[in-house]
Amino acid sequence: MSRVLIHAEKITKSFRYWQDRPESIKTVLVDFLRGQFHFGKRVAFTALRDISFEIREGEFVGIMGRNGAGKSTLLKILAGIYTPTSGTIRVNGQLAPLIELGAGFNGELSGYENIFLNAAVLGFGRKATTDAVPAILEFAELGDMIYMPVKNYSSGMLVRLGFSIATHLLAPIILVDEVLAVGDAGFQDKCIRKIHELHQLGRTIILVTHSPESVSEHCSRCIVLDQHEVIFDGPASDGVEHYLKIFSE
Amino acid sequence: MTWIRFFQPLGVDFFCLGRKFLVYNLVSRNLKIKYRRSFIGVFWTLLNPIGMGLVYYFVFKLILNVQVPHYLAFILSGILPWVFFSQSVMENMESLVSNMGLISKVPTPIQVFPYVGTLTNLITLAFAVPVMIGAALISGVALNASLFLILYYFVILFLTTYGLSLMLAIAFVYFRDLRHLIGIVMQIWFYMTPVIYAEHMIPEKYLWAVYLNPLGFLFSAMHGILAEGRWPSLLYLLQPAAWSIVILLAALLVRKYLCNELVEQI
Repeated sequence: MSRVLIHAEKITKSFRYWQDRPESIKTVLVDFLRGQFHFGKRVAFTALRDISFEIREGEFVGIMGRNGAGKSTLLKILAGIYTPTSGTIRVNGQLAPLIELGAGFNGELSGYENIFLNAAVLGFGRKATTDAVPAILEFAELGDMIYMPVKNYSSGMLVRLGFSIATHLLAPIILVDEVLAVGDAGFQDKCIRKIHELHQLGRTIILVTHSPESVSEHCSRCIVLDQHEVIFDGPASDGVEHYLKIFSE
Repeated sequence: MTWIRFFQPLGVDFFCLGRKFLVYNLVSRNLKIKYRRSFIGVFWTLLNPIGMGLVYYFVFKLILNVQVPHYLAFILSGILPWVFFSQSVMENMESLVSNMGLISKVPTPIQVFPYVGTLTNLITLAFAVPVMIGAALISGVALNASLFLILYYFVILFLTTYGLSLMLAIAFVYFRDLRHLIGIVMQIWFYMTPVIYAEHMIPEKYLWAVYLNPLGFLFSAMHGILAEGRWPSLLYLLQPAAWSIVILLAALLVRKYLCNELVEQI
């Protein structure tokens, strides 16, 4: 059996927010003078309940679920952006989050300068970045435009560069949100082929998607979330069935 | 040895030593954006405090005839570090909120943003040193080796500024009113610190205010070094350092205990 890279045990995430919160000091004062003092109350909303799973090296896992099922929250917990309210998550190895392509891009800087900025933001070091630059440039197909400020780029060019950076830095775990929905059909195709290729090279891929086709075509395993819980975790083809069943009920 | 584990992040995490490449790239981004396509670059940033210094020189020396020798060197040695301090605090306070797009999409240690902001301004302040020394030489101050202590005071000023910036940046996520409040506080703080006047001009019954001021002795010492060529005494060396440690520890506590769900709140 291959190594466990991600170990999630009984993860629960709830958000707390204020309800009926006074909007200004004036409101508080007026209420106070009337003899009533209220400061709103805290309401909790549970986005994920008791989620447990393990992901091993070399797996290609699809995560599916309706809007609001908790996919994005789970992704942010995996990426280390949110901390779970209870439960534990252990991630062994560097993880490249493709939650937003080109995170940290600055419009005034050239594409070339932004490669370094973006790689640093994603958590890579100088050596890893420098080593990846030739491959990034080749895949992005920007030619001399790479030395232009990225504010002059079309959205397609931006996505191409962002995707190229995130996939060519050698992270063992790659987390893909529905970023593939952007870009034209040709580029989408190229992206999914690239992700497939990375999987062949032994990387672990976690793909969050609404598309049953990509899951059954590429994934080896599927986790289906519904109502903030895992309702299915198993082979991709069965997962797709479970996913489609949610809508027929 | 739990106390060691508590202080450990003070070095690695707090000063972003694990993310040097990120810090380097963000600082260079800030500098590039600030000075790209501007002809005299960093000197624009210095021109503003130098202009202020000249105005104070005109008002206090030429009109009010304040009895401070070498007043131009005196005023510049105070105003340039002060502008570093107040500008950094005001800018860094909003750094978490303005970078929320990044923080909510990529796992980033939040202290990186105030840290990088303070570092960027520190580099500008380094360019101010020749200006301060030049003004002292023109005024005819007998400078001496105490000049090297400027480095020491800049490190302390950096730590104090960073600690305060980090606390305010976290607080700003919850209380946006702070923008206005801190603007006023900085004004008051400016006039309560010996920046444009000398410490010896303060009536004795108000001297306690300088003793309590985290920056009071620091600015007094800067005046001494650059306008009189005077070595600061031990008290003037230790009081600012002690304050900077207190502020950093407070920032460390705030960072550790008050921002568990900060990303979710932004």
